[in-house]
Amino acid sequence: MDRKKKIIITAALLAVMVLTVGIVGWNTKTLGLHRIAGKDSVAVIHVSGAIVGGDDSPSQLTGGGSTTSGGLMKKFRQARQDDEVKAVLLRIDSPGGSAAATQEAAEELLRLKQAGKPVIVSMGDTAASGAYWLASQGDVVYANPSTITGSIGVYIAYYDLQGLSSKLGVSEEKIKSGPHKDIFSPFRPMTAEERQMTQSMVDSMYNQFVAVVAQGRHMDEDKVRALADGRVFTGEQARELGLVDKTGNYYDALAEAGRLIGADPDDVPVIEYNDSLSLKDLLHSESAVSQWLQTRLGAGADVPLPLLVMKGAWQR
Amino acid sequence: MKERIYDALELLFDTLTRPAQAMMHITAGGQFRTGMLIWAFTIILPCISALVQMRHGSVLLVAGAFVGGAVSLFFQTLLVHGAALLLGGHGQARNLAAAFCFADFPLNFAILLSSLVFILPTGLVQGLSVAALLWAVVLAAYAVRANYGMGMGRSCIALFLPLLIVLGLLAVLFMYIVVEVVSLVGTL
Repeated sequence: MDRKKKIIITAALLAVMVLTVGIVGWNTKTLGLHRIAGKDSVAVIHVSGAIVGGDDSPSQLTGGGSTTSGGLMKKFRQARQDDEVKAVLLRIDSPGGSAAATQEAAEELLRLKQAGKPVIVSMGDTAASGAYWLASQGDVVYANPSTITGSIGVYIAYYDLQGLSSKLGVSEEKIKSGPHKDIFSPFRPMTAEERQMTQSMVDSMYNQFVAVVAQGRHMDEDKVRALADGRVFTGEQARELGLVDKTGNYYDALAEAGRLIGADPDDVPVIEYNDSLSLKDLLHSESAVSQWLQTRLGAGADVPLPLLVMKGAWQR
Repeated sequence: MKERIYDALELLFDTLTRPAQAMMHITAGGQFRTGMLIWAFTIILPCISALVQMRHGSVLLVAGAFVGGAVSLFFQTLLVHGAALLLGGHGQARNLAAAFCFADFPLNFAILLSSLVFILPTGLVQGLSVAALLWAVVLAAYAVRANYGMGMGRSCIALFLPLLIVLGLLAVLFMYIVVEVVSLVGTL
């Protein structure tokens, strides 16, 4: 290889290194470096999409459009144990989700507050139902004037497929240990007793929801109950009703969090707990990378990533 | 200066692709300033990484990195040079320092990988960083071999001997302190 080519290749390598380290470094914040810097920071934790139960596995990467209670609890816990974090900004853009998943995440959020770290909430497009459950636990709640929020209430849904199954000539036969074991079966009508049992479950969850909101928002339970018929509100309406504190966007909320820790509101030091992907996660057949390759190569769902890559190379 | 930069880039390419020949060329002499250019890059890259991530970095950080790096290079060269002479090698410390400047370059790959830790699997980043460190050690061994005309085995011994001596001294010091403390407790 001649001298000119060597020089060009090496110069390109160095340029790529500098640009990558600079650009990627600018967009990410390594916790280790923050610790060296030793600055008080605001931890920004995102709740995006439906709140569902489950662990904190990052194997889905950005796919799925949901937030797991396991992942949320882990981040709340990290923020609580991180000495550098002095306040938390909870950024919510979620229509809600499972009551139990929300509840266990909210429990960890309360522990974070009890550790003396204020929680500022910023609502994005939507923060309704279970997402409002979480939001109501914030010390200061921000919403955009047209954010969709509220929807305080609970429901349990099930399908009635009797009409369809009779048309198809399909019926369900089952042997059960008790009369209510198949309470949500779509192939039989719910009895009056079962409807009463389900209603009491819904009422129990509803009462818990109302109590949590009343306690979090320092409101009278009756006043919350009057608003908690499942209706949604705009951010502006919610502010007038006391369900949120202020209208403003993400940066208004961040500035408020910054003021609480004594930082410049225009340049608040921020920490985000990103899910790093382990090699095991990547190789797992349920990872987003694997799923993409499975779709492309028409392979089975249980084929591990290395075999998929080999299959791709073979097909070429 | 322009020619020196071109020389540095060409020698760096050769160091990464043909290390044995490149080290022979570097240690033949006259490449100290060329080596310093590559060394400066190896110091600057982690500084860039730190500065952009901390946002509020200062010139002091960069100055500190340069001073620390220079002291480290000086002692590394001095100690390995001494060890190589003890083992019967013949060569100049200045040429060894130039070769070490090039040999440390793979550490930049570890810096690059650490920046990508959020899009690459953690285990992969750690594994490749260790590989980059080993690569730098192998290049350093090539540098010692080329500068002192020794075999690879003796070159490796010369490279690690200072470290072993320092660790040995620390162990002796630790034992001395332990014995002193134990005897002190015994007299009490």
